[in-house]
Amino acid sequence: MAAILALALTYSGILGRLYGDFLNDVPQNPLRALRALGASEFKILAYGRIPMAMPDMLSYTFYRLEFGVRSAAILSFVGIQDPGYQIQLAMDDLFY
Amino acid sequence: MACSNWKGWSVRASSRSRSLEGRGLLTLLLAAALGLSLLSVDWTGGLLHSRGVSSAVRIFGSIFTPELSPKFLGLALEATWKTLTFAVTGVTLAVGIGLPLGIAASGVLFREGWLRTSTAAAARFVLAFLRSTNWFGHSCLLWHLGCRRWPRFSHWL
Repeated sequence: MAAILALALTYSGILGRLYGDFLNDVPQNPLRALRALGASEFKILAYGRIPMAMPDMLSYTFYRLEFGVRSAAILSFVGIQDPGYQIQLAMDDLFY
Repeated sequence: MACSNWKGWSVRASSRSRSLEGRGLLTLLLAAALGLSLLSVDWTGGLLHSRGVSSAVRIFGSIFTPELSPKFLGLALEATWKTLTFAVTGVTLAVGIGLPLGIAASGVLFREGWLRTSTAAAARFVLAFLRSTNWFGHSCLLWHLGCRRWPRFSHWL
C-alpha cells in the first residue's frame, strides 16, 4: 500500500501539471463557438477542452506508466516481491 | 533578410562571430573543468578493487547461461505480474489525484477574477509539492507516518 501511494503521489504531481498545460493549449476557436452558444465553463471543459486534449493526455499517461513499471521494479528493494526482489535474493546467494 | 549594402553584411557577420566566440569560450571552460576534475583523481592505485574482478567476470559470464527451468520462469512471471499490478494501480491512482488538480491548476473552470487566480495558484502549489520529492522520498515519508509493511526495509533503520 505504501509503495502504491508513493508512486501515486509522485506521478500525480507530474501528470497534474501536464494535464493542466494540455488543457490550456487546446485550440480556442471551438471553445469560442461553444461559449457563443451559451455553454458554461464546465460544459466547455467537458465537451470542448477534454476531448481535444485527450490524445495528448492519454499518450503522456502511458509514457508515465512505463516509468511506473520501472519504479515498481526498484521498489522491490523495500520488500515488494517482484523481479527486483528475486534478483536481489539471487545475488545475495551468489546465484548469478 | 536581403541586404542592401556590404556594411549590413559586415555587421551581421561580426555579430555572428561574437556569438561563436561566446560558445567557444564556454566550451573551453567546460573542457578545463573536466580536465581539472580528471587530474584530481588518484590514478596510481586503489581505483579498482581487485577482488571485485572475479565477481564481475562471474556476473557477466552468467549472461550467456540464463536460468530457464520452468520453476524459475514461473517465479519470474509471477513477480513480473505483481510489478505490473503495482505500476498500473499506482498510475491509476495518480491519474485520479492529478486530473482534478490539473483542471484546477489550469484555471479553466472560472472565467476571470480572484477565484480563478487563487484556485490555480493553490492547485499549482500542491502539484509542485507532490513533484518536488522523488517517489523514494515519498515512500520513506509514508513509512514514518505508519505505513510499515516493508519487512526487508525495516532492518535498514
